[in-house]
Amino acid sequence: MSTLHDDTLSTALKDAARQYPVPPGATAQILDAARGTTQRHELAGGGETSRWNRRRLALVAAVAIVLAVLAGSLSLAGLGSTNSRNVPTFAATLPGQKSAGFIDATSAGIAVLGTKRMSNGPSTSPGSQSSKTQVPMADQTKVVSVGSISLSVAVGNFNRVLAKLSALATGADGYVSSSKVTAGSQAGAVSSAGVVELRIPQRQFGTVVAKAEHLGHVVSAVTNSTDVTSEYVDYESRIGALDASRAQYLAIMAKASSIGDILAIQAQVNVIESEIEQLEGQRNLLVNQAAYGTLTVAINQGAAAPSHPSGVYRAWHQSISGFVGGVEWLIRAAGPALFALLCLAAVLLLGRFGWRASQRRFI
Amino acid sequence: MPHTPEVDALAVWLDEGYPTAFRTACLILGNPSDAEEAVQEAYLRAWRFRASLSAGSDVRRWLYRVVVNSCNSKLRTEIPHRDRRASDTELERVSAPADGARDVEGDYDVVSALGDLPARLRVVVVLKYYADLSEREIATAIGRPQGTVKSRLHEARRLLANHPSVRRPAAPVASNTHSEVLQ
Repeated sequence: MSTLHDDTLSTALKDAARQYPVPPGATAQILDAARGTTQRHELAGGGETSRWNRRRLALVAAVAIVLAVLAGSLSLAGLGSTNSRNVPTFAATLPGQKSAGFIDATSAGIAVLGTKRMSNGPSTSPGSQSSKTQVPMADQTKVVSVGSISLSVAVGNFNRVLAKLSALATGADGYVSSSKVTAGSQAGAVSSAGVVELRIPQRQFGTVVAKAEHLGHVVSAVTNSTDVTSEYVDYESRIGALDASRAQYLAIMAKASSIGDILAIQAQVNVIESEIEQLEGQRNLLVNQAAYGTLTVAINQGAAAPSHPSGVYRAWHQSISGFVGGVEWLIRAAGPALFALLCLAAVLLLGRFGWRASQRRFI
Repeated sequence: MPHTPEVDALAVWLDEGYPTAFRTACLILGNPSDAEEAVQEAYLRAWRFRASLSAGSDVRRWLYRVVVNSCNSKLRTEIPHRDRRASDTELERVSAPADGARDVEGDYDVVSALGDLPARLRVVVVLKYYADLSEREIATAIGRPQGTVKSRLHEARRLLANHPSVRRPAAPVASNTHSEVLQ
């Protein structure tokens, strides 16, 4: 392969370049243009340098904004995950309750409001003047507890578990509110299933849930508690206010002289009493729900259900659960990590583009 | 016009480097009109952004970089969309001067071959063999690694040597320059 000698090439190019005459007045044009630019920029109060600095500042600001958005989204993601983790923890800290192994607040369709202990005094609404609302608020705390357990029991244990559940409810001063059983053969050729709804006093609710979970293999367990204290106080206040109104109407009616006035006042009193009855009914329902927690136990008897899982079985089960938990954690972490990587790549690309553009255009 | 010390500095730059920069642009672009525009734009741009030149930096190298960028900009944006006949005529005029390179080189019309090189190769050839920049300086001027400059120079020399305009002379010539064309 042949190549040209450097000297030959250099000489040829220099000879060729000499054929290009330098245009007369070109440098003067450049100087004139430069002077004009200077004057314009002095009049405008800034030059290209300050514009360049402003562009650099804008670029830095854009990068800072992207990083801030990234940090904000990451922190929000962190808060979100913390909240979701707090749900079972919170439920577990309620008095007299125990958190089950598989908590799923959304599947129960119940919003966990929390047990807000009200430290303020009685409500200042008109109804709060009644003697009922002057009871200390700590004693009025109303919590509605709802639980759902799905049990898998060994063949032949179905009826025994049903009986034990009933005994648990009655032993805790509760009762069986409903029961629906589809019985199979005792030998287990046909599976049996049933759903039992227990009403347990609030203080015994956690204990009964814990005991019920030991009656078979727990497939799923959900417990939720809702603080309804504010609703209860609201009912009390409204009832008190309506009571006061009714008393005032009755006082006015006692002084009424015409039949027409008496009838009109009586009609108003009837409306108020109707409202009071409605509110008292709702309040009593709330009191009942708060006094007795509702535990729904679904029992399934299948041939494969282990009656007494051995230590090895439990260890294997925990191992699988741990593995699944680890995979879930990885999937949860992958989203924010991917988002962070995308943002970082965007920032890097932007920086590289800006740097190359500045090198190409401004240097 | 008012007297401005900074514009005086620009005048010094022009006195020292304008002819070389203009001819460099001519060889890269193949057209004196484009070259004049490119160099004017480059000097004005360099002067506007003189603050970005750090203290102690080589002004000459920096100016070459600005000129090369300006030429590249013209090659990318303006010249490809123009009627090529004018520039072809211009190139023909430049590559076949009455007493120019062809007379010096005899059968070796290097300028014509240079015009057929891709722009990226033409730039490094002009900077190396006309502007006498080192490979490191060329790398700075075109914003590419030194290895890229080396490979481009090698490729450019190979293409030039194989170009039909650059032929081995039929008979030995007296001039030493003419006898060293091929190796």
